[in-house]
Amino acid sequence: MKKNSLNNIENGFKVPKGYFDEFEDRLLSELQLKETASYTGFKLPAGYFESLDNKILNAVKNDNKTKVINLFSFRKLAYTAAVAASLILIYTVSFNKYENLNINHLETASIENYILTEGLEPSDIASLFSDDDLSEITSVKNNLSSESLENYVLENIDIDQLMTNNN
Amino acid sequence: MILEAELVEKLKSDTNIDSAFKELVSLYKERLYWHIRNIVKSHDDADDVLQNTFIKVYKNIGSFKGESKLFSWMYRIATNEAITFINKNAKRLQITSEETQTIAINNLASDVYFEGEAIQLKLQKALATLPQKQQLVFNMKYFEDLKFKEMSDILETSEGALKASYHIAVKKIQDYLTNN
Repeated sequence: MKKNSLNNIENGFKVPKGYFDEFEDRLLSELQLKETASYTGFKLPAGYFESLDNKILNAVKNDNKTKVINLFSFRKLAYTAAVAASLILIYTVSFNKYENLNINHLETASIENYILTEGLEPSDIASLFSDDDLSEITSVKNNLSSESLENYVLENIDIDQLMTNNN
Repeated sequence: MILEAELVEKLKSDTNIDSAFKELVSLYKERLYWHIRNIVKSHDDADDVLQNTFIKVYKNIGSFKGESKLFSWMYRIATNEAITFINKNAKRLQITSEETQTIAINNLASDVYFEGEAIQLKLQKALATLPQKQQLVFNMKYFEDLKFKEMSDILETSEGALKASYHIAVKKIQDYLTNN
């Protein structure tokens, strides 16, 4: 009776849902893994760390020197580029006046290459869509099983952030 | 050992920067090296990325505001440099960064600086099946023995989320090792 009443006292501390159910599982899986393989197997050339300090200091100094030279040639380059850009501008304005360029003039391969090499983020692409387009995309019916949804949420979503957003 | 605040102050001064930077390199070179090596896998690549990391640190120390610890700030630069390195390689070869990683792991078998047995190679393969963030979390906890608090400062993610990622990573790796 006494034990029961003690158990019923609320101390205000809470643990995440399922914490105790999964405790052994979590602890054991890490221990078991460490028993199987606890190191990476990566090795170093002999004396690597001893000679590393000088190597790094030299790299830093060389980088600083190159920077000075770069700055000088950058100015030259800027002048040349400015002249070239003006010539191109004059050419385009005077010769391409009547040509209407649109997305259809671009080859699909060029667009693909651009996306590949310019490091476009999903957010960049999303910013090209209007709200209506986006809600049309997101409202498409899908047949995802609740299991895959749960896995997705567990692996990709920062649960803490989600909770903060809901507050 | 010199205090971090003192070191930062020296690094920002014009007169003491060289000696302070030397000290910084000898303090952090090994930890940062292993952190980078775990991401890029090959010794030569880790060596390149480590040098770039220190060059960035040297150039940007003036803008280090001390909001985070010097330690977390440098780890963050090292992580970014290593990931940028993988992505650049992937772009150059016109493949995905996951494929670059698979190539790096396949090269390990014949790498003179890899002395792992079959199980270490398998562990690397298992690790490569995880999303990048989970790989980072796993490496930092399992091999580099960082605390969740430190990882939270470096990766700017809450400790709770990192713990969850780590346990998922351990479980997935174990499943991979059992099934393959």
